[in-house]
Amino acid sequence: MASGLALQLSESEKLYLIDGCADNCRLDGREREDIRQYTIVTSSETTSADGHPPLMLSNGSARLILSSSGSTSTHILCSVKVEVMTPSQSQPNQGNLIVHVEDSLAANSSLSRKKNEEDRNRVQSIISELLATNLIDLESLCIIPYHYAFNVSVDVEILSGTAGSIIDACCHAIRAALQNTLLPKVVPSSIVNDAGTSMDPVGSSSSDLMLESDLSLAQTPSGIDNAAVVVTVTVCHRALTNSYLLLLDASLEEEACCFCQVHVAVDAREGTEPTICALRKTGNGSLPWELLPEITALAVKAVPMAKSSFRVAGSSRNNASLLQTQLDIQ
Amino acid sequence: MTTSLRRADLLSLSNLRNDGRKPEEIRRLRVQLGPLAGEAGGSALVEMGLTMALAVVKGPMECLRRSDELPDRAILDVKVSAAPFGFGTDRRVTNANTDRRLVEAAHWLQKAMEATVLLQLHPKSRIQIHVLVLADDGGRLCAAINAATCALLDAGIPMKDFCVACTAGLDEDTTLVDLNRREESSSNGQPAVVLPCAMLPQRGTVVLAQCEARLPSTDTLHRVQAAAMDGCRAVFEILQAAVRERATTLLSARKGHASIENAFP
Repeated sequence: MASGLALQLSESEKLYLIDGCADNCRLDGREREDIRQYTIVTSSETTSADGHPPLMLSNGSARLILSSSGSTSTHILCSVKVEVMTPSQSQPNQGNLIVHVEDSLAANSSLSRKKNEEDRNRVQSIISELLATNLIDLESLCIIPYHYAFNVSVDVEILSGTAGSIIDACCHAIRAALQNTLLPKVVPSSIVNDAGTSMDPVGSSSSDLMLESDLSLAQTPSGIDNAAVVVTVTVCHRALTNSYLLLLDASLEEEACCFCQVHVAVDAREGTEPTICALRKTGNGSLPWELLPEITALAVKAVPMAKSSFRVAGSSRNNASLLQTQLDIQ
Repeated sequence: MTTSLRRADLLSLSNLRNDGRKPEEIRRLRVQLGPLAGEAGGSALVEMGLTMALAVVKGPMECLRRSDELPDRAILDVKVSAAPFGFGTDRRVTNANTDRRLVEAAHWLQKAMEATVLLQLHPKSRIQIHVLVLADDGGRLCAAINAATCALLDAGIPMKDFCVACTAGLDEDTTLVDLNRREESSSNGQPAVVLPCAMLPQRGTVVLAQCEARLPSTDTLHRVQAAAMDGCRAVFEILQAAVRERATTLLSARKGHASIENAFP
């Protein structure tokens, strides 16, 4: 429902699916609150010796593959690019982070162009509203207040979305990419020394900032380990008993016959109570008010599961990105 | 007193290029057939050095508008788009429909593929090719052509031959093969000599050759063209080996001797 791939199911198929969910056995055999395992690729080789991240020309990148029953798969590629800019006047101590989601490979037929536009903007607006302010600590992106700060651009490319659950997958991919991003250490050159020349490859700020070429001083953006996690709860309505069923990690078929979906961004860090950062409902059904606490409780319960149900292909962190070779040239 | 040799001096002493290659060497080429396993049709991911292009092919299928279809052959619907992070250095968001260079690349790609695919076998149908450029370090059009060829093969669409592409250029009288972004960018205020060339290697015919810079003489043009064709043949070796390997895997999977895991980088 969140992308242009909405399936068309017949009424009897929908009935079969929902009855199965009521019996706690979904189409692929999972229980209602089971989530599928996904795979994160942050390096291309399986041995840690020669690996490099999926996108060498970006500061950080990750690829996420979620495949269900072998034939359908959701494939997401996320890239993080960092540049130096002047912070805004209203928030001079903060950097900036923007999230952009794109589905370039969606079938582009002119008959339904307007619908495609709407669907694409929907995923983009959901993810940027739910996540953009809750991912990293923006104040740590500041270099010199009022003058220089980092601008982090996170770009998500949906390569394939046939296994459903696109928003959750994008959220995990963004998190993995940010955890593998290295921000170069940039120091104001007036502090270092006056006679030194600066080798700043960024260009515009070459007389004020100096780039540390030692890669071991580069750091990941702070706050990413406590970033919010988005959990999508799919609500199905069973007409026979007039009851509502809640599902986690819906496949495309389940999204096609659901009543509505609620996307919850949960901030669950160690030692404190989990808090809900943002919530958004999509879909045409009108949700009964009493159901909302149940939905949010389920989302909060699912966060530790979602954070840990992945396997990493390749070594998880390696520093052999292009940043290193650029800085190593004499 | 110790003197340290700068890397650039070291490279020029041994006649190597700025990334350590010899003038006639192509970049590392990695091909992955069928990375998007769930999609109908075919897909391929081609990496020439750091330039990455993903092609998705769907078809043959019905035309969108009756007025588009041709009575005796299929039409090719080609679209080339770039991810926001897939441009040179900085990140730019452009609309794929209006960026002139991407539209031009789609046009060249269509011409190259029309010369390769056996369109007469599917009258009144449409084959849709969509190429997404994920990273650009020079040779964007060539990576797109190579990716489209592999994706068409993965989809099982009949073709006359592989259509392989490679760039060639000139650097003060040495011909270079497979230029990266630094070599493609203009130096000394003059545009660099870049000749992307696509050919059908087994037939030895050239499908696409394009150069927008001034060349000193027609002899130079012949030399650069010959270098481009040598580069194409080197690319062909690698692509053919990748396709053969994929076909062997699929065949043995069908017989039950092996199983196909999810395609991974």
